[in-house]
Amino acid sequence: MAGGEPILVLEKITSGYGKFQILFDIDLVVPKGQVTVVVGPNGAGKTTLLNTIFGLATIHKGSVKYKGQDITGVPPYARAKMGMAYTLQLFNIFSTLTVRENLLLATYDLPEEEARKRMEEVFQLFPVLKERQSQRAGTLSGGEREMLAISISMLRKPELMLLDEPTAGLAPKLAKEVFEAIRQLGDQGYTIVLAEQNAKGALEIGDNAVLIAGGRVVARGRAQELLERKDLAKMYLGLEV
Amino acid sequence: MVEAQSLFQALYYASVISLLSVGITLSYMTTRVFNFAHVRFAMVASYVAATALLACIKAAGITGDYEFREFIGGTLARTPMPFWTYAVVMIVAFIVGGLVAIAQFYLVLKPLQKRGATGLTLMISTLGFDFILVALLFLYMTMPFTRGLAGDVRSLIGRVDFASLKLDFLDVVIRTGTFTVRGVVVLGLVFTVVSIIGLYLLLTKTKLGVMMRSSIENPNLALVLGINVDRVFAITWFIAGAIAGLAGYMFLFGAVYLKPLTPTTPSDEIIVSVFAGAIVGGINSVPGSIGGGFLIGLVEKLFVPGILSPLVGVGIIKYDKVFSMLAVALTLLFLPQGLASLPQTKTFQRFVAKIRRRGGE
Amino acid sequence: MVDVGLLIEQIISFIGVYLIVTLALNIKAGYTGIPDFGHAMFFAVGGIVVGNFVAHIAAYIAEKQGIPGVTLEGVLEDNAGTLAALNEQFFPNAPLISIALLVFSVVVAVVLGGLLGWLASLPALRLRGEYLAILLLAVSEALRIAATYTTQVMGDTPTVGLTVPNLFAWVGSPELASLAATIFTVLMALTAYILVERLYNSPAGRLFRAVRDEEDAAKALGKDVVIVRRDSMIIGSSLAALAGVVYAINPYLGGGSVAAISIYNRVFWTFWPWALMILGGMSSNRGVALAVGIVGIALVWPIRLYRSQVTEFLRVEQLGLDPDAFANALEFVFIGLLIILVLALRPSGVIPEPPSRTIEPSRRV
Repeated sequence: MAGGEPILVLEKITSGYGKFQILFDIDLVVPKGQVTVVVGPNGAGKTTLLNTIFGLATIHKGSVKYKGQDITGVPPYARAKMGMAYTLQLFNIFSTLTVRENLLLATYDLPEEEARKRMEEVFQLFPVLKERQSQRAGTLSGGEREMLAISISMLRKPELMLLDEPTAGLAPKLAKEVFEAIRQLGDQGYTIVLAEQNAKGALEIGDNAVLIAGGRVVARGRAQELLERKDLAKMYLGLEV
Repeated sequence: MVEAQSLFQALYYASVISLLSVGITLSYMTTRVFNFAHVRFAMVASYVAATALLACIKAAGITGDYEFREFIGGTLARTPMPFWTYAVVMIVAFIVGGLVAIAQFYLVLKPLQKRGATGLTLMISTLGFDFILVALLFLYMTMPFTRGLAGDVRSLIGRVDFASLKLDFLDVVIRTGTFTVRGVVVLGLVFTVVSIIGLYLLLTKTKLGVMMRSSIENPNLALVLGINVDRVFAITWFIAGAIAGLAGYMFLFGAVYLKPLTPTTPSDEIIVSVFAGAIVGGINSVPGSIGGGFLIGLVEKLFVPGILSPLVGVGIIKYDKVFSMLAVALTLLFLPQGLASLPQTKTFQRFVAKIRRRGGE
Repeated sequence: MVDVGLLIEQIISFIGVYLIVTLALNIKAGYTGIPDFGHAMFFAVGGIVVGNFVAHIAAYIAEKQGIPGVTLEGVLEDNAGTLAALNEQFFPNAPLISIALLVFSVVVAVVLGGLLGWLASLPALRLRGEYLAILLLAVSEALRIAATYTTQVMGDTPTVGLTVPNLFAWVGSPELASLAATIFTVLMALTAYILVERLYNSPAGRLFRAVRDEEDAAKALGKDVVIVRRDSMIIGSSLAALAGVVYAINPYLGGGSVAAISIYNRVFWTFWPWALMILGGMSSNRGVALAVGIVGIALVWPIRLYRSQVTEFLRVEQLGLDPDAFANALEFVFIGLLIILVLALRPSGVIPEPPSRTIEPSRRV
């Protein structure tokens, strides 16, 4: 799919939580249909950046534009309805709800017909979830939980997907599979913003990339170029060069 | 032997505590704040409902003594009131209770939370809101229009006694004995059971209920999925307040069992028991709090006077609330998640396993 | 016509007692971060010491002296009669005994308050935050109810309460006795303020705040957090009990001269001090003093004035409002709005916590 025109634009963003400032003067352009990777050392502000995009953080200065519209003051639930989706790193399912209730929540604002159709698609993809639909999500195994979390995001058929460290805590082999899956989604035309600690894996599959450190953008460009910048790799990403 | 009348009183009282405890739990689960103003919602509902009752009587064109009497003196001559007046007044109490709760949520809690207030700060703000409600009640009962409406109902300092107000249509006469079950006792039990079933159905079978539970468990994830968490919480608060409103409706008919209605009573006395019910039952469990409230009510008004006092002397009755308070202290210290969490504790599971094994042999 | 002298004495007494009781809370909640919602129980200790213990001792002595109408048993069985006899025939002629009893009540209240504070600090080992607050509230309520209905504590008529022995009767006329009580209140308040302020900059005070701000860091430095909390509870609670004594013997405050336990309730002696402390600024003694002063003047003044002159001025009755209810409403709405507005607009109070001074207090000018 031909990408290029920006779907999301951050201009001079300074943000944080309450009075606390974490990000400073961030500019970011996310082109449609591409995978944009956000990398940086621990505590650089990657998660805060995603939270800022989704309206979960406090914006002190600057603006967020989505599909040409200023959404700086729009509450998060309204952003979800505008076609944005966000897979949190932790606590990304409702463990006291049943599997079915988890899935229902993701589709509650759709017409019933459409909701049922999408639900069936998910069950085809992950038959195990269908088996366990009346079980509490908290009783699922680790792998099943991830499936559920991914299903929740997929059900929303988002125009912009934010992924926060989807490979955290996974074995290298599994992490590789996840990255490949994200690449595939990118190839299918999904617009993705991926925040990753695992810089090498993420940069290998990304189209564009920004490197943030200390709450500021340190470098940006094509993902491949960043991967080849040895100075950055050593200084910020802890990669063996 | 427990007398029938004290049994009824205990059931009435337990229902009131139970209906109020569940609201404490609902508001705690959503906003993580112990709401000291909660019982006052019932008082406000009670006052407005009383006004509505008088308006209904005017509208229905009933003359004579309305089953009310002044705090001091008055007659007991009665004119039955039509059924619809009771229904209208109940709905008024329900809605008013809910609206006051929503007002607190949007006017006090949300703005403070936005400014980053912590749990303790919020808790103190509920005290402030409670004081304001008391002030409004003091003013409300001296307003010219309530005075005009209630003409013969108000006494000098505006205390209204509804001691003689009955729910005729629900008063049950048991022929074998010589006593009547007052309608309000029946109503209390009905309210409690309906609240349990209603909340259960709401929370498990409806979209709104699933949204409530998800927003309580993980507000951020709910937001991300497009749920307006603030609005869901506001609705939860409305429900909590509305159920308190039902308790307030029961105040109108229960002055025989509780203190007469003033801006400060009976709420100032029962609030400690209401908290006890919510905490003993489990501050994070809706059915737990209903059960806990009922339990506390029965301990105070049935166990202490009916069972304990014949054993250790009448003097113990005055100490009924001490037992509730001790129950709170012990629960917080040893079972912080309340009785609802008992089945999950190790001791309990070991106990069950032991019984099962014995059963198998 | 308003008696201005009386009004001023009343305001000063109100400010004095609330200053002590709020500063006492400030040590626990402000300095150390213990959310004590059971503050009223320590305050009530002072009331019981005066209304019960002191009355018993006085009655014992008076009975020995053969003063008619006074028996030791009468203190509880016929409290009003016995205390009337004591206040009319015994105390006016016993200045030394009165002063001794005054000292006795202060000392005993401080000791008992501290003891109760130590007991109350035990649950703080297990609980934190709102849970601890609710627990202390529950304990305080339980003790209040238990004390109220125990005849050995509150006599046979708990709702009326115990008549307070007039320990200043020897000074002279009732007006002079009241003036003496007011002066005593002021002296106690000043002493409390100086002590609490010194505590703030003392090593102990710094330790309290260290535990409040960085419990783990304090632990890592080898400080026993449990002991620090306990000490804070003991000091704060004994000061609250002292406030209870001052309140009981001040004729402008105790609802005439009666120390009914219902007066020692959670609204006035737990919630109000909390409100005043937050208004002034937690951990800020100057803020607390300012807040108590403002509220004392703004609250007592208009409501006292109200009943004689402002009623007519505002034409409250012609508007169809009940003057009594209106005065009550005024009081509640005042404090309620104050709490919420302060929490919203100035969460750290009118005078925020001052930075710690590291110079020894003795070397300060």
